[in-house]
Formats: sequence, structure tokens, C-alpha cells
Amino acid sequence: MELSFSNEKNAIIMSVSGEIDHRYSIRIRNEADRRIVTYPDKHFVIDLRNVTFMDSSAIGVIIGRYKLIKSFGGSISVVCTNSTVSRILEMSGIRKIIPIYENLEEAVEKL
Amino acid sequence: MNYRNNIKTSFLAIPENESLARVVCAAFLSQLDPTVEELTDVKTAVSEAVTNSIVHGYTGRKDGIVFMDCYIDGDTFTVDIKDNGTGIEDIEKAMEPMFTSCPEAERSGMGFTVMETFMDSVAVNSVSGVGTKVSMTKRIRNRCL
Repeated sequence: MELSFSNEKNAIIMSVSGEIDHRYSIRIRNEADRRIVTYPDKHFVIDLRNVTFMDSSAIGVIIGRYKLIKSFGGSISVVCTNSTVSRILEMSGIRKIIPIYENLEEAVEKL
Repeated sequence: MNYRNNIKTSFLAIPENESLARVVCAAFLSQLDPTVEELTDVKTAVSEAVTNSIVHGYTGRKDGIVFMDCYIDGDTFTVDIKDNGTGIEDIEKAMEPMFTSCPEAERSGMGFTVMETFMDSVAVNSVSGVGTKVSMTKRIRNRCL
């Protein structure tokens, strides 16, 4: 699993590639929180377009980041084009609280 | 006569072995020439069950062992995932969507929901203080050896 971070307008973009399971979700949480806490005035976009496998551990991590960002007054969104990943996201009902987009530009624009 | 095969594996209950479990199951299942979706379904369900053993069964202990046995009988794949961990007191409650005994660890409580969605059957047997066994089956459509 690879993580990279970038900035776009007033958002931190976290791009994840590879597999997200319980093991990797721990690292994602630590790395994401470090940046969220350092830049509390930024929004957060989780880019899952290059994720090849995901189980429900990822849902826990996404919801945890949602709660943290919300505590700072920010918002979070997810970018996803992989049907396998989408299935897990839809099953969780996460779309009720976190918008999901198919492209990064729209995700950043609508923050 | 149905084609039959089985493997028995055991591994340390540490997060590093979650991906190993997925790969082992996928490799064994590949004999039935599954579709990409069927393969992903099984890998995801196995990942959930193994993670449950590691996170909940052994609650962070580093010396627990997860036992994973896979079977093929005709076109049906079965996987049993067992641990000798703490067990589940109330199985029905544990299988409720979004229920988790570890909210502080950011567990989504979706593990059993995923297993039941992606597999044809999920059976859970558990005794408090003894351990848990999750048995799942999936028929690989129109495939047989």
C-alpha cells in the first residue's frame, strides 16, 4: 500500500494505492491524522482510484477521519472509480455522510 | 464423481498475515476458474473473518494462531477460519450490521455483513473463552473440474 499527499486549493489530497485492510488502515490513520491536525483549516479528500482491494477496515478509517475533520469544522470527500471498492462503500451507507465522486477535480471543487 | 481438494493452513494472528490469507485462498480457489468478481468476493470475506480473529479473537495478543482450512467439492468452495481466542458471547448481536465491540479501534462493525453479502452461506460457532469458527461457502457458477 502506498500513500501520497498533495495540496489542491484548500484541501489535502490523500491518494491511496494498493490494498487497504486492517493492517494498512492503521498506517493510513496515523499519516492522515498527522496532516489533519497540522493543517486544521484544510478539507480532506481521500482518493481511492488506485486501490486494488479494500475490506471494511477502510470504512472504519474513513469514518474516523470524517469525525476528526468535522471536529475542526472541515469536510471530507472520497474519489472512487473502482467497482470493487464502490461495492464496499455503498454497502456501508457512507454516502449518507460523505460525498463520493468519480473524479478528483469535482471532489475538490465541491468542498 | 465430484472433484475434491483441500488445504489446511495455520498462521500467526498478526495483521501482516491478513494479505497472506487472501492470497492463499485465492490461489486455492483459482482451480475453479472463478471470475474476478467471485475471486474478490471470497478474498474480501476471508479478509474480514481473519481480521475478526486477530482483532477480536486474540485482542492484540501476538501469540495467537489462526487456522484456515479450504475445501473444494465440485463447484463449491468452503473456507473455515478458526481461532482459540476469547470467543463471542452473543453471536446474534455480533452479526448485527454496524455492531462492534471495538469502536475505539475504528472498527466499522461491517465484517459479518460483508461476509454474508459476498458468500453463499456463513455459519458461526463460538464458545466464550474457547474460540470461534467461521465457516463460509461459495458456489462458483458453472465451474467444475
